[in-house]
Amino acid sequence: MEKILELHSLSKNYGRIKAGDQLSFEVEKGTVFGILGPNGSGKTTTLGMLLGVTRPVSGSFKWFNNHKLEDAKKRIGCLLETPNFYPYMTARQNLKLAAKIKECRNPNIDEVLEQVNLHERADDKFKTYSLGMKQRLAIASALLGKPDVLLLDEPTNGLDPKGIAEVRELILEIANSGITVIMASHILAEVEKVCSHVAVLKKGQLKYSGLASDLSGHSGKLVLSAENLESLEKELQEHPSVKKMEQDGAFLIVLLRDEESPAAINQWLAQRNIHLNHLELRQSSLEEGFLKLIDS
Amino acid sequence: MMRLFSIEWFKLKHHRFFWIGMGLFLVLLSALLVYFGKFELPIKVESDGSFEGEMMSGLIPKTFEEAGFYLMPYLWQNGTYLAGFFKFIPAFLMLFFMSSEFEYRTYRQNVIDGLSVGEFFISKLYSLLLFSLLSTLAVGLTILFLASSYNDLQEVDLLQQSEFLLALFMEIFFLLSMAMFLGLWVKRSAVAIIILIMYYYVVEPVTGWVVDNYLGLAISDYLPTRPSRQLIPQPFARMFSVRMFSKLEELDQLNWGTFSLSFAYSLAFLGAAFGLLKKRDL
Repeated sequence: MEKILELHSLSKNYGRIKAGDQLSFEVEKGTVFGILGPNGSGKTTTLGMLLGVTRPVSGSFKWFNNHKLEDAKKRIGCLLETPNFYPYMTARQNLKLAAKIKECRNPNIDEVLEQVNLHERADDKFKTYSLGMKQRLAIASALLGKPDVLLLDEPTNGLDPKGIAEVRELILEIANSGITVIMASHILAEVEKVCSHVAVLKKGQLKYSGLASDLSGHSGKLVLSAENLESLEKELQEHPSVKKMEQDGAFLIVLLRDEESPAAINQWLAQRNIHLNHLELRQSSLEEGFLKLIDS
Repeated sequence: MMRLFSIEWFKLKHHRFFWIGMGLFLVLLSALLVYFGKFELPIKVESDGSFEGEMMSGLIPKTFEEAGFYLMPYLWQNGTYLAGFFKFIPAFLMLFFMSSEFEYRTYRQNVIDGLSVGEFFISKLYSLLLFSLLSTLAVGLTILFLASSYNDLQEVDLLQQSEFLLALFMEIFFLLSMAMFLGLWVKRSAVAIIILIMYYYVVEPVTGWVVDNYLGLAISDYLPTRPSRQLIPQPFARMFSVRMFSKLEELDQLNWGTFSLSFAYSLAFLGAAFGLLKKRDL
């Protein structure tokens, strides 16, 4: 596979705090790569170094098999933190300027404005925009000139649920068109829904890098609820394949040792005169793999 | 290189401050130069009532125009000296456009989009040159217009003493270099403009005066803004003597030592600005 990005022992520290500690991983072409970690784990710092806005202390990285950084950046669409545009210019003017900097020959300005549904407000000044519109303009700017790579930092931060769904859909759409997507997020559900590969960071250190499916454990997780939660828990302690239990509000979250069908559990409980009013199987659990890495 | 200029021009031309600032510079400057001749001279010679006294007071000029303000080749020095007061307009523009790149984090965005730190710096140098050149051009054209309406073009050399226009360019270029450094350093245009004006009119003159008079060191001539202030000597004292005693004094000359020193200080501010930009995380 063609490599889009390679990191070699990339490090950065702010005083004694290590925001990047000997980071090495690779991103292959056409993947949706998630950089995952809790707040303050060094995700934004890492992206900053890759874009030349944060100076690494040591180590190196390569874009597109050793392009000059300035040239590489012209092939990367970026969506970082808050959108930064010239408040006195209109959306169209801001995009024109970005296209000049990126050296796009025939910038697809109208196309990207339509893609993010801003074409009707394209000639209004940026300072009159709502936060959601500003975010959408940032996405439009990231899509300018059909980039080879899309870099996203917490892309759904500050958006309402509708906005989150729209951005998620857009990411998948972009990924399907063959563009490599690299996104940083602390929201597992987000990464889980779109990423094929993940790198997990904790306090600047790389804890895992590889397929997302390898990170998620295979054992299933059951979410149960019954009239009497106490007796449910008591009975389940007798069950041979129950590994761990945890109460979460009105629900009991049960971790199973082996693959046990929910139907079998239900029948087993019914025999002991416990009738469930909620039974749910949570198959994928990237969260567990993630939490295991973070807690260790 | 044209790419960087076109990027910078795009940023300037869409902001009304650029047009208002440059327009204001042209309007205020030409208004001052056009009406300056009508101003009365601050010195008055009272007639004592005698015949000779009346004769004398008739000969003595009452306004700057009568004192020869518009006469060539003196107009170059007279005009550029007065125009120097307006250099804070382009300096404010420089500072504003520099610091707002940081206030709105658009500098960071420019770098993310593919501009190198060096390219960004060069694009700002284009702004600096453009502001300096446009201001100088406005002054030059105003002076040429006034020169041709008040002088017999057959008799005077329009370009004699025009090196004072170059001196004005240097004076503006220096102040803009300082403004660029301040805008970059402080990152807040309102704060930076206050620092610039306070430094220029209060801090440096007071420091220079204290050091010269109390410590007995003659260093005030070497403080940063000093050479740029001395580029165009104050012309009025000489102007009165020329006309009043109809004795042609030697023309003031542009002092190339002062010019070089101003240029050196400009380069120092620009170098410091670049160093700051290079060192800083975005």
